[in-house]
Amino acid sequence: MADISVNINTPQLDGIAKRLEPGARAELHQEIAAEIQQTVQGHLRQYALAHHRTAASLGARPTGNLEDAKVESTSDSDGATVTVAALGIRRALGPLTITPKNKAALTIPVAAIAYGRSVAYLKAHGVDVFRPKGKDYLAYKENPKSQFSTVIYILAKRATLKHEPGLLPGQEELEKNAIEAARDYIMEESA
Amino acid sequence: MTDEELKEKLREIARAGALAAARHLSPSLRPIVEAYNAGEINLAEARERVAEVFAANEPRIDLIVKTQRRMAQSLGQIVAGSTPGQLRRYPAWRLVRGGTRMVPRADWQRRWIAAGSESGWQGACRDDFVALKSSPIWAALGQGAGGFRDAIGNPFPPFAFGSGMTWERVSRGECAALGLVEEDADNG
Repeated sequence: MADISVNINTPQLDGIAKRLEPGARAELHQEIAAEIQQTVQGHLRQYALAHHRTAASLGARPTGNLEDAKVESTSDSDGATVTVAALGIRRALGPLTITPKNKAALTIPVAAIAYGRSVAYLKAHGVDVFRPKGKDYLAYKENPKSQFSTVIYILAKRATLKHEPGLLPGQEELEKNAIEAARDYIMEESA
Repeated sequence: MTDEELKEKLREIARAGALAAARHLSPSLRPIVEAYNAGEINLAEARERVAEVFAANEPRIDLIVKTQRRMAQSLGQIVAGSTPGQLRRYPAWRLVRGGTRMVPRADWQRRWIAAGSESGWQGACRDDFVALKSSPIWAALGQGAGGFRDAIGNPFPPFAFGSGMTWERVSRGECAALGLVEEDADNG
């Protein structure tokens, strides 16, 4: 699974939770989970809108990998977990090295036609993708009669995506929102 | 409407949406869409695998996998946004651009006005794309009020095929400023 979990554990929240009965604690955790889920989802959307570097540099349409990321939460009387499922989301925690799965090499798109499309897909749609002898890239000819070809994928044994801490909201923001949700719950329950 | 009734209504919308989404998927497509939703495969692999299942052009394939994923995202948003605390603190949604498009639709204002007119502007703002979570304007928008034939039929985003519009939550304070709720009243 390409997912990560968000953990929040502050003495303040712990103190609030410990004073509650298990049923109320489960409700509290549900509120905190819902708050963090919405915070993370909103943050990812904003991040995705502002970061389409690869697609933009290639003149391609963004794949929407982050803007449509699945964010879910579960909770019970013991705690709450918010899970973010999106390819590459682990970059939020540190550099991410990727290696090919069931293939000899990674195909890194370097042209708009290849972005968000696999080699097999392009071939199935009539694009004659080929690997020039001795080269570590794949290319195609826009005009079959032309002597010129266009490089569309770089082949690599591995690639490392750099750490992107901004993919997720800061810990401070998450804790602040979680505490606000908890305070609201306590105030409503004691009203 | 009490918080509990509203919560149940919103959950019902989510359940109906999930069922509708599942009905639209053939058994051979479901695992592909699920793997894409879970972030296990990327769009390139999803496109390749869908293309292996049946012949379709790229817009059609994207329509299937991306629409399903956006629907799953919205259903999760409805569930998370329906807790008593979330309904109290964020009683409304705002329709916002959630994804970039080469050529964004320029008719959302007309869609909003048509949906508002059809639903009598119940719990909806005329000057901003903001409406209470319980407002019928969302269903009208999804049904293509005003004759928009690209509507999907859901009372949640995406409201139209290929749309990059989504929801963001709106605080009670802002809803009060827009006249949708009273500052400390229950969501109605």
